[in-house]
Amino acid sequence: MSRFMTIWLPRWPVQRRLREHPEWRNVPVFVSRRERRGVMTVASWAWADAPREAAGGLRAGHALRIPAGTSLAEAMALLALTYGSRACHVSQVVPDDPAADQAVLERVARWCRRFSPAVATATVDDAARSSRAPEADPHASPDCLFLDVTGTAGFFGGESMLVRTTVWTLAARGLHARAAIADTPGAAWAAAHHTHLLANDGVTISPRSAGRRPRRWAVVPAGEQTSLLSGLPLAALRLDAATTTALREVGIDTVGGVLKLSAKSLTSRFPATLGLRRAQLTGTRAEPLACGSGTESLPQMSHAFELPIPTTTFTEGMLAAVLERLLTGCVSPLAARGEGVLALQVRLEPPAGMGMATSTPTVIDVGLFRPSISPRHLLELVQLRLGRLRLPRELDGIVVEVVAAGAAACRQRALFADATDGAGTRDTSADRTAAVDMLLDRLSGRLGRDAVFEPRPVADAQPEHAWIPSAPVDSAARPTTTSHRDRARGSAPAGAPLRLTGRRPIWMPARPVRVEPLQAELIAVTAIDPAAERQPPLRFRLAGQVHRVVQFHGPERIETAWWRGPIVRRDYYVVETETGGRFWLFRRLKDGAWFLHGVFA
Amino acid sequence: MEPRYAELHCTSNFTFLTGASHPEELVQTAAALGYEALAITDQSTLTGIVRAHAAAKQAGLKLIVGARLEPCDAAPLVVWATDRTGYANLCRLLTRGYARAAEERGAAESERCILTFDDVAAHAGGLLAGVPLAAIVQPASCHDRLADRPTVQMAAGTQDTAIEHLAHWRSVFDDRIWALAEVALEGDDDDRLREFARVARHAGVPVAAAGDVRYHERTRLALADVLTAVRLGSTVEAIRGQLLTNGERHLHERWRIAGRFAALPGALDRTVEIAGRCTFSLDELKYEYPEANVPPGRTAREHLARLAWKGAAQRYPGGIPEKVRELVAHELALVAELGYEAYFLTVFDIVRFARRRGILCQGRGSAANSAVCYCLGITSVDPARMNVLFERFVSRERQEAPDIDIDFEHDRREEVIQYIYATYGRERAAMTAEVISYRLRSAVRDVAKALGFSLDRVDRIAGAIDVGDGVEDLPTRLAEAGLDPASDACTRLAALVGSLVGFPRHLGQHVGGMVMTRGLLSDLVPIQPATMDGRTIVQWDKNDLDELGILKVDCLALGMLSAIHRAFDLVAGTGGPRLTLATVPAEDPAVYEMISRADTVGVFQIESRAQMSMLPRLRPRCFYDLVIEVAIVRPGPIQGDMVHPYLRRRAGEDPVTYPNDAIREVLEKTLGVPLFQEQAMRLAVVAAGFTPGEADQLRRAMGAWRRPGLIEEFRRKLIDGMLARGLSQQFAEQVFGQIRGFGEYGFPESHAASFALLVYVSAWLKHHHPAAFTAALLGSQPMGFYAPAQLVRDAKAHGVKVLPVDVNASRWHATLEGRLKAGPDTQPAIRLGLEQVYGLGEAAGRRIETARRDGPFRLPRELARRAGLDREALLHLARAGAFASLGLDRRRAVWEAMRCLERPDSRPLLDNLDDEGDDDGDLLPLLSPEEEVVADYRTAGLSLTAHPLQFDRDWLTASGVATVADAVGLPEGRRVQVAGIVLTRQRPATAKGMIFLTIEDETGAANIVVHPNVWEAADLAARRAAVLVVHGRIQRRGAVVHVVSTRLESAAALRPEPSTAAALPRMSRDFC
Repeated sequence: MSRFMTIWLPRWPVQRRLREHPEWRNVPVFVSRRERRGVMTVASWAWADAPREAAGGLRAGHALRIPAGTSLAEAMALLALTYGSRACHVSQVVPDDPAADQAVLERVARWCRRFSPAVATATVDDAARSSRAPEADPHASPDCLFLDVTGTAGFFGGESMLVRTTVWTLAARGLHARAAIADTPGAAWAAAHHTHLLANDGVTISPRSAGRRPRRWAVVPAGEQTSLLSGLPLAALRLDAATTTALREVGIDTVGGVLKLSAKSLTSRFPATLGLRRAQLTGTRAEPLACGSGTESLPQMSHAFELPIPTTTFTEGMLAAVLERLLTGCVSPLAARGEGVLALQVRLEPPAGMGMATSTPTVIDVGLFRPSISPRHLLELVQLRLGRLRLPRELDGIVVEVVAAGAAACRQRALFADATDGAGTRDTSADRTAAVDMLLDRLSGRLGRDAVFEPRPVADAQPEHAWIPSAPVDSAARPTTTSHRDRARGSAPAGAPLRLTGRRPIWMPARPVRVEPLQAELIAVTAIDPAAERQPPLRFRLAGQVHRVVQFHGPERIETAWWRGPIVRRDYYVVETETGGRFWLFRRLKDGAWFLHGVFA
Repeated sequence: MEPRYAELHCTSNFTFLTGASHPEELVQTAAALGYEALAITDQSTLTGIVRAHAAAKQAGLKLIVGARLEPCDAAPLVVWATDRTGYANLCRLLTRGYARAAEERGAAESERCILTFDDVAAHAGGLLAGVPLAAIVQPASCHDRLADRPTVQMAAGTQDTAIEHLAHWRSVFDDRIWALAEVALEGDDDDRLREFARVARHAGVPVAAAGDVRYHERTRLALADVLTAVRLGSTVEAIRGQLLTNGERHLHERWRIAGRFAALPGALDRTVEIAGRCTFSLDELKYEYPEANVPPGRTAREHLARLAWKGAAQRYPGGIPEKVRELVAHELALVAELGYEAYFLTVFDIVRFARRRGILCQGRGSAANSAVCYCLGITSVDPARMNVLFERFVSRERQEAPDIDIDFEHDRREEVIQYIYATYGRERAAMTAEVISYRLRSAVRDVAKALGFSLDRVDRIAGAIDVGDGVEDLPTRLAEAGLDPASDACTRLAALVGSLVGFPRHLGQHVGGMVMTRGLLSDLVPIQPATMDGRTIVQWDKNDLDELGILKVDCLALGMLSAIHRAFDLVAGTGGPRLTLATVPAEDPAVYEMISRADTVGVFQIESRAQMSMLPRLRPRCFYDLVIEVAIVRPGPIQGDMVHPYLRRRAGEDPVTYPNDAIREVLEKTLGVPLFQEQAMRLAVVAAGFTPGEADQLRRAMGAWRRPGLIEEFRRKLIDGMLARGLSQQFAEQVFGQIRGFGEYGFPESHAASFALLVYVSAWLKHHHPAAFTAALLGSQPMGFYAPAQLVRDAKAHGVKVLPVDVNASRWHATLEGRLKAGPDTQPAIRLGLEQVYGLGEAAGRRIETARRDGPFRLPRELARRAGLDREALLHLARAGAFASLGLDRRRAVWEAMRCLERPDSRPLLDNLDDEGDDDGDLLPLLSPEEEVVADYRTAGLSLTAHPLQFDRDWLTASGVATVADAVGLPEGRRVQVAGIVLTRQRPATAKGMIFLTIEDETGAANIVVHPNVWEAADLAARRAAVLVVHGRIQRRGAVVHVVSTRLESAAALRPEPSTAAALPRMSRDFC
């Protein structure tokens, strides 16, 4: 007899974010989704610590129901109606990120291995279905964990203790979960989602907690699922909307109604899913868990050292040795498939016992500019950061995870090194690149990643906006998984070269420098003389020094940037002075003032 | 002295989403700058040219007709028409390009013009060409943008290509080609000009200056950027690298141009020379009516007269009345004098075709209601039945084409249009274009998107804008959408929107205007395919055609004609007489009695809330009263404040007075209040001394363009004119207000008369044949104000029996069962059609009809097999309860239908062995009566068994809600609560934001008036609820009772479950 536990993490996309931003517990949080036409809808929402009393004296929990798929504008209107418009102003709206939701869920799944070795975020059937038709149900994102707990309950003092421990351990880590144990994953799923509807007789349920919150857990005794779950609504069968509607149409609205149908009516009238779900609930069809298959996507690699150690007895050398071993363990499988590490995370985990308040691990994130397969190089980068951290007093374990990997540059130095190296110590270009990369990694290790950049040209008519700082990443080595941060920052508008023909200098001041034209030398401007509007000053003073112009090009007129502020209107000239200096001057057309905006070599 | 110059390369906003100025603006600016001439050279189109032509005539500027072409296998070029031949060639060339695009890419690409070098070469006669060098000559020097590399000369090969391109075109145009040098302060202008000169010299082509103008003045730079962003479907910020870097592409002062081209002597003089060679003007276009098919040996005049007198004899079998005889003779003389015979014969030909095919049609428009048209069968409005109407049916003093619109049955108009194409040929007939312009909402939407506002924000702003809003309302609307109107982003938005409103956006198809010519139409104007398959449109809209005096006939579609036709058929089919529009008995007092009771659900035009509340006050007694009724409830008279004065005068409350005799003559038939558009125009003539032409200009100024300055000018002229004729200032202001109201929304008397006939016919049908009338309306949905549920309800209230949809009895459309006998109480019953079943397609419905000929169906599966229905169709039928005759209630029917296979043709061999009453069907719970009714509403939009609110009555009564029947009996001012299904939501533009609701419970329908603030306060409930509870006060105006609402509530929210109200879907037709 198998036993399964299903852990449901309600409103998972919001829960995940609340864990990352505990300060959001006080405000409504909306995870929004951009629909095809550009309309924003609510994918999931919650207000963890909502005020008990809503605006009209209504009980808040009952007053406000915002189903997934509601447009964001409407959701805000409803929110304002219930809690007043202030609630809207303070609310957090974040775009959905199913990949990240899934990734974090996988991490929780990994953590849950302490309850059972077989943990999955989906069953094999569902995983196959979602890979076949990922768009089938746009509002369904995984929010459950399935555990095969056959025979493991004994270690925790029985099934009710196991399910209770699971729920409370997760709660201690800031996760709100509901869980149930039953004969099949399907039955456990049904029970976990409907703990509030289960009757006390026969089912072991958590005692009704204070504050009328739903019961947290339930255990359906072996062999009893069909009788005990038949009162649950159709939703307990994990059906798609169309099947549910079809059943309702003929007056069937409980699990029991479906169980009563003959196999013949079932197969001749309803999609195959219904029969499958029924069989999965009753156990006439086994539903294996999709363990292991989903966990590979993120992180790429992970190695953990899991012995509780007081850091006081831990020398730096020992730490380095452990880290190197872990790093090597991570790198070698990657190297074997021609990839190197682009980003990794080292977590020094403090001991976090059951029921204790969570303490956050010490996290070291290391990003590289080019994939590396050298554990030594990686260790050096970790140590650069480690030196500046205060370690926790006690460690529960050390985890190294490769967060992103990229194709490593292929080098065959070893084989033909003699041929080129014969003459002496000649750098190959590959070596030089490697050296530059090393320098970049070290510089950013010291200065911070954002302080090291290269300018990239941007198609923008206004010279000071015509470039942006950009991370010096080789385009060939773009990470295979874009990090969340990169996406948030938005990539620079590349491509589409600017149609300007004018020259651009190599040096530009941070802001244009005021230049004083010397009036006496300026040709008298008359309205009818077309040349007058097309001439720079023949002498000008710059930083106390007088320059005399001998030759000029231009003007190049720029009128732009009206969409981001006042319009910028300038006439640019390239001028050559007596002393051979070549300057880039412009006249501000608004008032005729002159500025220096660059120097040519 | 300033140099002479003509701008030869200028793009107007008719190159959609590229040019940023109206042709008029360009023309006026060029004239003010003293240019010799201006060429409007839009990309592959002549759509803007007529407007430019009119503006140029007024400004005294020479306009050159041209276009910019981009052949797919040669360098782009600009061409200019020197003479009529050149112009015809240009039109044919563009027509060819559009036709090719349609052939190659299909109708979806109807806006593309694909040309080849050979096409241009074949049509080069009479055209001059200019090749913009900037497009083919690479910049002479290339700079790395960030490094300061030395100037790199382009590889010689690149410039050689430019020379080849030029030489290639020179081989076509010989000495009629110039190279156009265009520079725009891009940093190395002089280098560029030198390079241009070199290339042109090598190719042996002279260089002329040009500006590649995109807008008339520098300030349009930002708008041009926005248009580029809209064109590319992106934001300005995102495409900033593709924008022009400065605003030099405008019309410059001539001295400035001279300075710019100083390095290229002679370049300016050549522009003047080119302009001198282009002598063509649009005034040369001579329009010729198509040749009518006149029998040999007879002139068109004789033929028309013969047809008219023959028709008259048929119309008046008892002898032609003297009045009509005089009218016909007079009109024929006038037609002959103006040479419009061919026009009347053309219209006659179209109408004759429709009649042969049995398509109901009805002409309207000033010329349509002439006695001649009545005799020709173009209209059915008997001139003997009308009073004076035709005193100026064709204006002698104005050279304006006569105006006839013809309404055809909605679903058969396409036959008429295809007939016209077939008769006149696609070379001689095409549809009129309609220039779709930016309105406030679309302008805000596009500009806000281009400025990078988030899409929800854009939706919210656009949603806040009402139909009647002007640019000046924008700040208020922005504030409503939660933006600060004073912020930079919003001022920018408002300014750009202000310029963009009125810009043409794309070329659509006019609803029905057909242009026909004697010669080739493509010699006159380019023709392009419309987005609708099988249609072609000319590049001009109706104003352009008017300007050039080109004839069009409007062939419009009217749903009511289809319904009337259907009703005539049903009447004849049940043993009644065979009726036509002209033979419906006239002036039946019982019909007028019914109309005066406002018992007009379903009647053409007078079924709306506004009309219904007017009817008991106006109490129409004769046909002309209906004409007034149709005209009076229009935005024009309402905005001009003419309704109440008319009603008071009609009721004898106010004296009927006229300031002088001339005005009396104009206004006598409407008791001194102008109600028709012609009267308002005529008033300008007799009271303010306008010429008829000026009066017409005035009307147009009020309507289409709405330029504040222009209107003010007319206003002063009008009021001065009236004061000078001794009329009071107050009267003058009043007349101005009235004319203003008529500008866009007025109804000419002749249109009203044609519509009034359909009002009368439909009302007659409703009174004498309510079953046939209702069945016909059900078959013509969607139409009018009422949903099928209300039509059926109204029919039942008039004693008509209505039978439910059934697969063994219903046809696709509603039918009549039983026959018509003498006596008022023996109406046949209506059998609802399969069209009432939601989700069932017409093809499936027709198959059921056909399959039933082999005998009735006994099982749903059998039906599916015989009629080839899929499971979904069967389910739709089952849900609609259409299997009742098979002894299956809804739920059982659905259960049976579910068993059918997805596709009828893929059934397994052993299907028949399946046992019959197989399985769990008996386990299913039965539907309760209220579930039945709710299901009726969900699946067919109506129920024949009960009204849903019946089931909620208990708790409604307990909450103090009265029935509608009780409520309308209450005295004025009494507080009341009523509940009902929302049938319609209306927000007329004329009602200052007031919302009108119609709600219905089991006792009847009630009219609710909602103030905007009450509406806003109840936002969500009021906008979405299927069933509303209305708190309000009774307001009585004569026989009309309203509930003026103070609070709205959703019944579902009041008592969520298990009320019937909460289960109902939304039923209402919303007009707001």
